[in-house]
Amino acid sequence: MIRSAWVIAKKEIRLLFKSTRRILLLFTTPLIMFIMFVLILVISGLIAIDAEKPLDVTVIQNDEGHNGIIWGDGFYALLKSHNLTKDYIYKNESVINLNAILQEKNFTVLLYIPANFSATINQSVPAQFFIHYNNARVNSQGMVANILTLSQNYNIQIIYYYHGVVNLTNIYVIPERLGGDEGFESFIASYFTMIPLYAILLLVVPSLSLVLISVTIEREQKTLESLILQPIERKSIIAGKLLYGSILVVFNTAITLVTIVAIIVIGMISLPESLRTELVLIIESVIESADITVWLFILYMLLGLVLVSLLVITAAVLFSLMAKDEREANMVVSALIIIPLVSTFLIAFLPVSELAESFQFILVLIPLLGYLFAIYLSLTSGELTLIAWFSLVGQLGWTLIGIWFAGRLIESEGILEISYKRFFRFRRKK
Amino acid sequence: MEAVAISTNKLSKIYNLGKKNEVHAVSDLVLNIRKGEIYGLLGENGAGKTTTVRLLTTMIKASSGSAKIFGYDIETQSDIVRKFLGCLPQDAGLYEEFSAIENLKFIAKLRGIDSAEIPSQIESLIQLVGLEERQKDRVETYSGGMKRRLMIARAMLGDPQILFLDEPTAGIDVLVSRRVREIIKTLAKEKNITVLLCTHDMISAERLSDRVGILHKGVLVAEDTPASIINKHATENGDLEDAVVNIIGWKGDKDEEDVL
Repeated sequence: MIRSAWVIAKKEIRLLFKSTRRILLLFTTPLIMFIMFVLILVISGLIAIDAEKPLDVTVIQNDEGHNGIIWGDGFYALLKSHNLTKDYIYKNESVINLNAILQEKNFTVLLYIPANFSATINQSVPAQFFIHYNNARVNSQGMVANILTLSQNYNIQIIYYYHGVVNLTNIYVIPERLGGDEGFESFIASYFTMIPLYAILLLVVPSLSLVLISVTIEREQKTLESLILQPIERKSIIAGKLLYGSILVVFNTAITLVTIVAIIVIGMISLPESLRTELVLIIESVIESADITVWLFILYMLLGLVLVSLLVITAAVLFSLMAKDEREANMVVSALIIIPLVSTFLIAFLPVSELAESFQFILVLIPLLGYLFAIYLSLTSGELTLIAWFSLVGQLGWTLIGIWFAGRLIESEGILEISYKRFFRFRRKK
Repeated sequence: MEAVAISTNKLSKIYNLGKKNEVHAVSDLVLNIRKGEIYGLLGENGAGKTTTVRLLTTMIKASSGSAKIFGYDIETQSDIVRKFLGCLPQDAGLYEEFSAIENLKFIAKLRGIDSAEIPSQIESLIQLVGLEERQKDRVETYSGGMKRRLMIARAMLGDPQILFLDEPTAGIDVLVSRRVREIIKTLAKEKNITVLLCTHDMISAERLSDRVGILHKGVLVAEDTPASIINKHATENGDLEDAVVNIIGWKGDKDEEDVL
């Protein structure tokens, strides 16, 4: 079966390079990225102008200290002295003006250290400070990231000082974005959940279209019958198409990575010196601060992408096998893939993390969408829970069910005449 | 006694069994086709010719009865059976973006033919069907007749011992039909291949077949050599078409498109 599957996959690859349309589909992702890069270059001039303006941090330091130690002052001093943030302009404001400043929103970043900051630390319970930021400025998010990085370093200092008693990890940030008041975790989680979504759209969907064409063309050019007549297991036709799809995903990922690296290199060269230095510092600090949990999460994301890619390719093979022609297959497969992907935007509104655990277990089993829900849940809870791993098992389960069903379908007698119209018996009553 | 290539025992195929639209496509078919014989299976549209081919090529399963190819059961030993077969289905197609050579190479690899033998086998088949000059051109640029000849070459890959040809001359002109007939004759006589020929083309059936069987509504209503069939059933100076029309009892009161 493996030999036949490989012969079929090789045939598909040869056919791919004989059609301009299919070659264009294969290079869709790098092409999109290149166009985006050109656009970025065009607007980078505008960014550069904006970036030239120094960013200002308004600090309201209300910490009264405890036993002569004012941790708020220390944090403020650290911000002003550290390489990551020393170029920012700091403005001291009185606590009396807090509400007025918040209402006017006349700041890039506002840092509020409350009165009980030191006292709370002294009680060995998580202390909080608040960050509000104005999203209208291009690099204000980068500034927030810098402040957060420093707060983590400061946290380590405090823990060291108190011999490990204090825990400052639950630093609470309120992004002044869209006027919302969501927590930092869900804010970041929404962003990170979109990463696999874009990865699926960019890396898997072009491969999905090519697999879909490879299956429907067998029916349209009437070559499926001659395939079935060969002395091979019929299931190897399915295996061949799946193998072809997997090769496409790997190839697409490889050329996309090469494109990304090329764009980063060219982009870095064309960036203004100040932005480039800042970007390198952010990347370095992110890599340095990554612990085992972060690497485990990256591994989880990669494993999930592999499984979801397999699931999408299987769905493409199965649902195009049932289609009369490419048009019918496109309609069904596009709907089946795009609907869950578009549904991910529901994450911004659906309180998934607030749902009962039993319901979360069911939710993460949904094909494709369940994996994205699982990432969101993991990010909001800050750890890879059993639900997250359960979701991967679910995606694998759907893939195996899809492969089994496609195998049954190719072995059925009606495979040459099957269509969605017949399958669902959508017949007009005479 | 000559070896039997194809034998069927009360082979039947019923579609939509037990439903309102139940169709007896093939009923109690008994065939015994000898090795090296060209057997013409004739009948009107919907007579059961294609269903018979699909049953014998293991594409579909019989509702009842059995069939053997060189002694191997088509149901329980289908993988072995398919190795003996070459088939030109009625609605077959080719990979339009591939050349003739690429089309043949793909099927040759799929059939597990030794890589070292593939070029020589393809070359001889291309010569046999007369496509040497266009062998490297894309199939999408071929005429209908050229495609049909290429399909015969494809069916011949791996030296099959039985060749199923379902309407090999459909949709091609007289000259190409003659060429296809010559190819089939060459294959049968020089390579001692058994050929089951399903056709509406009475000239091909009469000139090629050692024996013909006439199917009507899924039932084998007559079987003999073309000459005997003509002698027994045709009117004076009539031909095979005349005989077949008389056997199936066509009165001319049905839609002409549904009959021979």
